[in-house]
Amino acid sequence: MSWPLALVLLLGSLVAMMAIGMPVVFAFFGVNLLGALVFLGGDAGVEQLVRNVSSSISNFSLVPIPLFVFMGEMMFHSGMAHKAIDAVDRLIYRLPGRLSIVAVVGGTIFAALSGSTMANTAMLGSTLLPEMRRRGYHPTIAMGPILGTGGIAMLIPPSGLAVLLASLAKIPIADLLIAGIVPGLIFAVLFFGYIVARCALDPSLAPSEALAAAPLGERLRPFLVYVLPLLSIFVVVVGGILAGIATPSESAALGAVAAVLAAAGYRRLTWQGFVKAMLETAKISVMIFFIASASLTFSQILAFSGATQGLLESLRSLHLGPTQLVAGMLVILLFMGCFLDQLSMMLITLPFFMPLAQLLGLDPVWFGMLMLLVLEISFTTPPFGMLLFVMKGVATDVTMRDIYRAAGPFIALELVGLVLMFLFPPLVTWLPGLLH
Amino acid sequence: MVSRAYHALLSAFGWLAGLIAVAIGAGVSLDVLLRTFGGQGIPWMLEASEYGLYLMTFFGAPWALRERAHVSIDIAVEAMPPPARRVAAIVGDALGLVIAAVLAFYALRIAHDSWARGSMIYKELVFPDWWLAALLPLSLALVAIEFGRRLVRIR
Repeated sequence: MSWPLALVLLLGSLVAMMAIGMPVVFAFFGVNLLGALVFLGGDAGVEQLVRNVSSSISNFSLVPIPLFVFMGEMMFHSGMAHKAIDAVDRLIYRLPGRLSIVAVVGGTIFAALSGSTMANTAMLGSTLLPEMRRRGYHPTIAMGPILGTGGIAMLIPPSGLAVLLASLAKIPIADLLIAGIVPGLIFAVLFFGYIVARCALDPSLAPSEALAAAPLGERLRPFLVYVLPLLSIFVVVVGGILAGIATPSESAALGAVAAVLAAAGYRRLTWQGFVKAMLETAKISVMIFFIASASLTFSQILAFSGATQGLLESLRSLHLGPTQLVAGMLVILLFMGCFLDQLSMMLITLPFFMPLAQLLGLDPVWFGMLMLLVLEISFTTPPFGMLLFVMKGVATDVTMRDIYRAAGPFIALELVGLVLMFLFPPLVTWLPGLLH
Repeated sequence: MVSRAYHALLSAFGWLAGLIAVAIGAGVSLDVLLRTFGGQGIPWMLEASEYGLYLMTFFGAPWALRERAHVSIDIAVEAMPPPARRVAAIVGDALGLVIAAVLAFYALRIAHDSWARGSMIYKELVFPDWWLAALLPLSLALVAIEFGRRLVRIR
């Protein structure tokens, strides 16, 4: 079978199975089964496929994924996250679009404590959105910042998706985790500036509130009590990695334990909250690992069918420069992001993108971070950005069209950030460079 | 009766998946603390947590399917008229059933071979390979059953 035909057969059947609404993990296993029969030698191929399932996921470097998710769920279900947002709310004062700014600042802080974009968005949406709407905030300036900031959770460590991307792409996990800090902060600054500028130009977007002038000490106190101690968890997790004392897996374990201890310290540790956090963690982690268990066979089949090599060779024959090829890969990823989930995007593109990146001599951490940024953006790109539906879940009376429109400016800002990181690689590579 | 036992089993597996995740966090932390302050860590913790990830995934997989926690892409389905949507659901669940059943069959064969051959895992922990291998056919068989249940409920 020629490689273009093999590629069409494999990706075509994958897309067909996804389109009829099958859980994506079974679409991947379906293609793996087909590919094992055709390209990996039938019976023996299927046996190989089944053996690959456990070897794909029995990997110590994937340990942070459930634990990072657990940290976020624990913060969320214990109510610590809400308290922290409240504290930020008290601190921020007399700024145009105040509550939207609270969403960005609070969301960025929470991103440093949680590896779950879903928990982040749901938390911000459920705590701040009702208040914003009661005060007559325009939907764009109310929902947009929550959607944008929700995604920052997967850039700033702890980030489960960064761990998975690094593991599948064979990039050093600690480097990619640390590399996410600066881009995450740049996104937050862009959002912050945009909200202040827009609300200053058009105050009707976010009607100002008459806040009683409280002394600074009183405004600062909740921040010192409810936010600063939590940030020490971030210091433990990231500091351990940065100092080279702990692997990401070990740091994640300590972070998870610290989250439980913090909940106990605030007298917010309940059996129900713990069980809820545990079961939500299991649901998300099982979903991620089940898909990851199909990854090894999927990339083997693409390689054995000649599709990987064929596509790479024909790209090489186009004589494009590295800049054009990287831009091309990111555009493909952005396009896929309108329809696919992040895990599927990784499984489909990494077998092609990573060898190409190697061929071009790209810095893997820089390229991996650009991919992660696009994956983050695609959480909010219509029609199938997952966070758009999380938002719909917390704001039931808003139409999807309004949510799409609210996401628009923030997607544009994220693209600006992406271009910055593309043009100035040190923004990404400087911080992880300190590791070595 | 059978149905209630089935649901209880799936829920118990979901709990087990969650408990395994928590145990990995606690175990790895304990290992780090012992190593840092006691000088001696737990030598088998690394491989135990690797097995843990596998066990968590496949105890949890049928439960997550019942809870509809496996991500799927419904954009095309939602654009379909109801009759087409029904066909898509039938085809999708039937394919899921077949895929899971075929994989379960192969996984069972592998686990059985391993048991018959008496294969052992020799790392820090030494135990028969089939202790781990036996979970995969069970998990995939339950997944196939869950797809079957979805199939008969489509109206």
